[in-house]
Amino acid sequence: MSIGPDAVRPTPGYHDVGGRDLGPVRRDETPMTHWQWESEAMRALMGTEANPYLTLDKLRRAFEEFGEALYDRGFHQRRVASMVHLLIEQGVVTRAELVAALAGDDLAEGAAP
Amino acid sequence: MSRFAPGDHVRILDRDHRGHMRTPRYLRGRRGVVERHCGAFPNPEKRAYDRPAEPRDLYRVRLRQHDLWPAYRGALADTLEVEIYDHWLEPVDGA
Amino acid sequence: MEPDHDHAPIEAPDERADPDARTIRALKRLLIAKGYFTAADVRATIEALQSPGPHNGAEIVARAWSDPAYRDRLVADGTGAAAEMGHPIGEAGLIVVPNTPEIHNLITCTLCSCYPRSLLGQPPPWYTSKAYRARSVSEPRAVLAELGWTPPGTIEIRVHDSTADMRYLVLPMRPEGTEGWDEGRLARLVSRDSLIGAAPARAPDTLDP
Repeated sequence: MSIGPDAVRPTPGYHDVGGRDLGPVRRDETPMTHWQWESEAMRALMGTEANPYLTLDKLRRAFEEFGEALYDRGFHQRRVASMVHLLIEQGVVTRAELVAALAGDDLAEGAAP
Repeated sequence: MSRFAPGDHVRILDRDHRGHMRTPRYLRGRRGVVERHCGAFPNPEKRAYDRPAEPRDLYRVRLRQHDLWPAYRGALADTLEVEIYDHWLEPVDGA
Repeated sequence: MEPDHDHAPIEAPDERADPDARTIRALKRLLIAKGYFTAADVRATIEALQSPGPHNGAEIVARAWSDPAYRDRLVADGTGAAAEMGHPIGEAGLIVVPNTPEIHNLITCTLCSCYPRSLLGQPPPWYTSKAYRARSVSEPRAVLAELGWTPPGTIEIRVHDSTADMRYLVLPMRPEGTEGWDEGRLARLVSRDSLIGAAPARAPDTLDP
């Protein structure tokens, strides 16, 4: 399901924001959450020479092609979406496996005291 | 031997490129001066897709903000420096 | 105003239901089951990611303020000089840009969020925001004011857009009134914001005695 370089993207260059009037800069200093640290750790573990599935170049390319709606959900959120996009594209996981794992998560989290 | 040296005047090309690239739109067609040659690095346009990535010369280019933005409000001296790959640059005569 | 750099991860109240948190938990379980890494690997990687921070940049700047030969090496070869201080740069290269009375530097990445993470740790959310990335290049003075500092009108503001493989560290000017200070004390004046160029280094009178 890779959208290769010759495909037409939803909105070309929505990530290429230099010079756009996007409103005031708010001094957001929100610390990273636990899941965000885990996300970065997994990105690093799966972006090595041995497991080159989530290298920075690929991560960037993925969030440039999956559409502006996903992109605008936020910085850490787009990285998660990019990771899912790439891991499925490269056959590391399947969508069905991910759905099943999410269902398992619902059971596990629901069962927690 | 790299194509450009510090002090060379260059223009950033407006190439018709699809897919991943590291040349922002706001720089297309703009002129600047080479600040340094950074070295050669694997072409990110290929690395993003698992294609063999040949090394390409990377340069830092300095531009004048008043040349970049029609409505720029700042000092005349204000500048912007960016890294641009060799295949996005062409030489121009010195200003 | 930048916060204290406390890394204690926040468990958001809705982290059980948050869709991205759920996705990360599910992916982690899947990838562990498939043998790509272990839970211990994830914990160790988190620790490694949390180890760098602005204190590394402060140490480098304090050395540069104290040792002119080191400062020259730092500006000529940021990667090598950082390594000298025990801070190997994981990215392709570090370029150190010195502030002077004539030039104030500001770092940004319009295309994504490049930042010298192997040295300074994770960037603040305002740095990765679309608004900062978009307007730091076209309206740097307005953006600096929104972040809390107004530079002199006559100084050159030089913005560095990290478009490719290099990463950037601003070398702020040494504040007045710090003659004879040791490096440890000088480092306390070097804020994370000053390493990005969002502000100058702290003034001596802002420190507790």
